[in-house]
Amino acid sequence: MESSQTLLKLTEELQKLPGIGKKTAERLVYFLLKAGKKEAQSLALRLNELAEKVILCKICGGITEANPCAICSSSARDKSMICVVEQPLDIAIFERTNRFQGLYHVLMGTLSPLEGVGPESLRIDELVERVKDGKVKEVILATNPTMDGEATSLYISKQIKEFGVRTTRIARGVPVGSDLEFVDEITLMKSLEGRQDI
Amino acid sequence: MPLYNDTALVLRHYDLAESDRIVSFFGRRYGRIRVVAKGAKKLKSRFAGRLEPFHSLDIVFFGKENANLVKLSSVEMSTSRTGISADLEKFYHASYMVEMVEAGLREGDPNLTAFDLVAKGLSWLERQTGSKDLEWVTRFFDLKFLSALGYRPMLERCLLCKKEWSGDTDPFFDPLAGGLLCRRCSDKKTGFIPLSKGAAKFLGKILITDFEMAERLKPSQSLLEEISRSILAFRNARLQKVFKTERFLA
Ligand SMILES: [Zn+2]
Ligand SMILES: [Zn+2]
Repeated sequence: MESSQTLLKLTEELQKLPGIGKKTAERLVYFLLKAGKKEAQSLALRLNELAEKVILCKICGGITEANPCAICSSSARDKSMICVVEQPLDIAIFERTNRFQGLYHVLMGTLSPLEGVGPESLRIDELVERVKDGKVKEVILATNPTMDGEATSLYISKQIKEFGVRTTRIARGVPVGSDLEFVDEITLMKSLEGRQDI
Repeated sequence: MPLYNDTALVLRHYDLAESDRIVSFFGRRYGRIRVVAKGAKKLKSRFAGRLEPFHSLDIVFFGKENANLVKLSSVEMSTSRTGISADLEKFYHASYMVEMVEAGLREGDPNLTAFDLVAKGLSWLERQTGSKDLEWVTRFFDLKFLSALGYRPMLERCLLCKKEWSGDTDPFFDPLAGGLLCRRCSDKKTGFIPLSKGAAKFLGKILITDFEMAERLKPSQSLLEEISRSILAFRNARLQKVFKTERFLA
């Protein structure tokens, strides 16, 4: 590899990607070399487009090429509901259910005292502003059911309490298609807490 | 491949590729260890909800001797502490305890006294209902934890002249050397903290009091402020670290 600075630099860039170590990065570089000029140029073009065109929606923080995004500017969406998620990709996950008709709000992370991440580093003020305007009736907190995710939901629910909106947390419980025998006690406890009439 | 088992506190976890996680534990027997939990993020993972911070688990892991990362084989709940996630103050203080563990102990450096203290500290936090004792118990924890690491401050005699402290005069606390200085010796050094004789005695009391009794020992607000100055300066001098979690503690 030391024969080419270009190879070395590209390998270093690739190694910055999550889940890619030195070996994998080198293999990817060799693959691109072998695949020919066209492949590499097309990848470069797509990367450029990503950097130039794809932005985060100024309202919800979701991934978009138009600002505001299609969801935020759609007249068909229910503007009284906001689903709060950790990452832009979480929006796509909810959209795949074809069930949720409201709007989204991306936090860009969770509270994490150990990483020094406090509420000021998240898009919580922006959420409070959206809730303040009075059209929102319900905020659904859909952060991950991890310790940091739970704490973040708890924090947000306190911040928006004064505006009198309904605040809900996505249910945590037994996964569909699983067997109770293999469900851990924490999940089982949460599923009892979140039980519903049928 | 050899199997190992331990009772361990979950300190935190990091995402690894795809659905795997690295879980950082504080084990009773093995000290701080990092273990790969395969598929921990998947819905049907057999580790599932147990691997969240602050719980005590009985874990079994395997791996080659000297392997960088060992793998988690099984997990049973020993003491769950779900109450911590239901209260932000508790969550922040528990996070602080985790940061203390990470600051004070290297990986693979077992410390039974420290382990028991942290386990008790987390259980205490989880039991609290609207307690105003968080600040006090945290400072109590600090001093006990530092002593468990081997940094027991010298409170019986003067660090310099070695003369026994009579308890009748106000001494000084030297956070760098970790102990008391008599009035006369305090002239020879800088960076010490004036301490009332009551506060100096109280620090000694903390050292001989079990964690379970901490609440009963609770000092007045002014005494707490006084000992906190010495304990925090001592902690900073010993652990040489800026605590990220500190600003979250009220
Ligand atoms: Zn949007
Ligand atoms: Zn002296």
